[in-house]
Amino acid sequence: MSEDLASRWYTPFELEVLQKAALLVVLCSIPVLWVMSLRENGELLVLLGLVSGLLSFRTLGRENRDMMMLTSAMILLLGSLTLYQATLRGVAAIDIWYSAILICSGGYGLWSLSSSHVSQWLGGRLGVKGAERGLARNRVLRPRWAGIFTHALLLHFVFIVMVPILWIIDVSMSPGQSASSGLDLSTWTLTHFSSVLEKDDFWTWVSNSVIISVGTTLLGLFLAIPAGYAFSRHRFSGHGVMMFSLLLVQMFPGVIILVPYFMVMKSLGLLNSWLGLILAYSVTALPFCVWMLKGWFDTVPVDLEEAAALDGCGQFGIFWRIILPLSLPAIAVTALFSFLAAWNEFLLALMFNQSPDMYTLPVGLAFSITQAQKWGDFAAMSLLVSIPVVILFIVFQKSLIQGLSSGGVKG
Amino acid sequence: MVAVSFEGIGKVYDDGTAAVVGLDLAVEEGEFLVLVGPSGCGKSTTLRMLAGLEDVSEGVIRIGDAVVNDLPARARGLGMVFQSYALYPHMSVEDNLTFGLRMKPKAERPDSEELKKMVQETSSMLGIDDILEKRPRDLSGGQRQRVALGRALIRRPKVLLMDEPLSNLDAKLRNQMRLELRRLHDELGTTTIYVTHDQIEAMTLADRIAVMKDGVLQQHCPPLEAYHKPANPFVASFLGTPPMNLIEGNADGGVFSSGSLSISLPDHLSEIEGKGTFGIRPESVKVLKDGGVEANLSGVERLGSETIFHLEVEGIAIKALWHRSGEDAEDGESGDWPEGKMQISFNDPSAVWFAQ
Repeated sequence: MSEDLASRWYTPFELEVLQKAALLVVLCSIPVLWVMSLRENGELLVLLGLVSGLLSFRTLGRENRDMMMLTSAMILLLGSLTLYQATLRGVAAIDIWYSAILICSGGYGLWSLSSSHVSQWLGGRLGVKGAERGLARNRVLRPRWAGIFTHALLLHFVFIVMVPILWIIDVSMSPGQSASSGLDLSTWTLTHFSSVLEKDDFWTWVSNSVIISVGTTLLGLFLAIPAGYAFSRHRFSGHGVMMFSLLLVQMFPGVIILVPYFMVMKSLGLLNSWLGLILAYSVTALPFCVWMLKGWFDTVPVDLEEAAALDGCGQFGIFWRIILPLSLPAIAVTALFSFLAAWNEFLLALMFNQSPDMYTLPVGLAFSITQAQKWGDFAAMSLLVSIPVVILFIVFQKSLIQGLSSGGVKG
Repeated sequence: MVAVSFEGIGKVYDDGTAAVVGLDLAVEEGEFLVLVGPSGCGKSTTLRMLAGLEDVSEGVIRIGDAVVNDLPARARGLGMVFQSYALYPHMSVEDNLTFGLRMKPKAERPDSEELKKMVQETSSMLGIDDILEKRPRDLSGGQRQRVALGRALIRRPKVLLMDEPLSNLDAKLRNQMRLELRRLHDELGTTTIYVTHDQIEAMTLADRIAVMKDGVLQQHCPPLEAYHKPANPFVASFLGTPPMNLIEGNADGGVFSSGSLSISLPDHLSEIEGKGTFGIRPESVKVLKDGGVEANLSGVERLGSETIFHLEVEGIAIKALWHRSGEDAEDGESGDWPEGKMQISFNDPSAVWFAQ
């Protein structure tokens, strides 16, 4: 082992942090560029910011010392210019945010690259002892600094994901029926919610949706649990073909079976009924549920069943007392899946149940906005529709993770 | 009295492989029988057929006098300890112990007071009374092992079955549990059938061992008898470490010859004639100053308490064993071996002969 192992493996953590900073600059420049081009103002600066971010990302490394300094300086300068330009025409939140990112990233680049340790490393004057000290320094300082830019990066993603939700919350709380968002908290009211909750239609749809979703869940589980168990534990003729044909149904888009479904339901007299949708949804959700549960049952050791058999259980006792209690996480996941599929489904519900008193919530929601452009009420109603989903996810979060990670992945 | 008997038992799997062939075996009341053999020899299948977890292809299995071939597992009154322990993960230790009792038909089910007493008794016997509230996942391997044992014992089974119960424990714990299993058996006197591939477990635990190979019973007798008087070369080489030296050859007028090797047979084998296999345990191979067969020393393993010599005589590999560290030499034995040569002798009353 040569003595300069440390030097060979050592890179100051600053470079890693700079990489994240450059990534942040690039990722932020893209939406800002779009906004600026809408405003027809300041695109050039942002474009330059984007380019220098990319350059800085590309040129990280010991051999590009001057280039790294240059891009950092560029980014710092562009940040200051953006801020200056903004003050000339009135400062908006986006300007402050964007220039702050540029100034912080560029400033950090200049500061860290010119610190004595990094400049020694860049100049190759560090030596073995220095590299060893550097490795120790990395261990202490890296988590702190890398954390800052990682979190900045992640917060932006969180923000992007949150925008539609914040928007719809704002629309549902703001007076008037406009769909635009102003985020004026002082005017927030609950009038949209109360007007939705006062409508009898809404409660009819809620009860339809609840009955159909719960019915689907129960029927789906009742069918899928024994099926999954049989597929997992027994080898019978047609085993493989049947497992595959379950998947086959999932391969085609639902629209293909829409018309045949409709004909079947019509001839059975199940249009405009709860049962029709319950049947249709259970059948649609069944393949996923069976595969999911089979995957879970596969992980339950056969030894347990044999031990239970010696302990005095019959086949049903084994299933009921050993397998089912052990499978609760997987059952929770499949139940949640069937419930959500039924709760959110739109197309079948629209086709089958065409009389307004048999609408489910998604259909009702759609009709309420086509009849009158009341975006405020619509937003309030869609939030109300998603509340059960959110509650279910919070309640089942633990078993969801357990069920998905051990049942679904392995199966 | 016979507790379990296998009469002409055979097992053929659906794919046509024969796991057990024509097995005749009787286990006495209170006996500790160890089924031992290399993996795939059919010992586990035999146990599982007795437990009711595998169908019997042919023959009759009796527990006591009753034929149990087609009786469901739960009706056979057996307790079993699995290799994986198979503890119910969703139940506390106490519930694991009592599960079998609670599953009994109403008339035979003990009431909660009796149940408590039985748990108390079993758990203190196994030293698990302080973990009754815990779940299996919170237990150490040794504790799980004890709980599995307790679950099988609490119902006072007619026969206790164990399928490689110690193989998931580390070496130290395994030794400890081995002693404890034997102590428990001496205390309770439960008829026990124990499956293992480990010959040390077989030798130390068993009243009698049943050695199996390729689904066929090779020998059924007390362990030391199998060690000293193996029924065939397989049993001879399977029991004992290092295994017995086996040399195929020809015996004629008190002289055994194999290739260019020619030795005079020990007195008790002097009558032997014809083709066969000469067997001698490594510890019975004597190392002499002179007057023996010359052997080349190809390696020495010094284990402290014993020393193993790897030798070569006329192209035949022979192992010799000393039960001491072997740094010193004693009378009649050479302490240093010039140019890796030793003088050895096969003249020992424990040598065996397997006629062909």
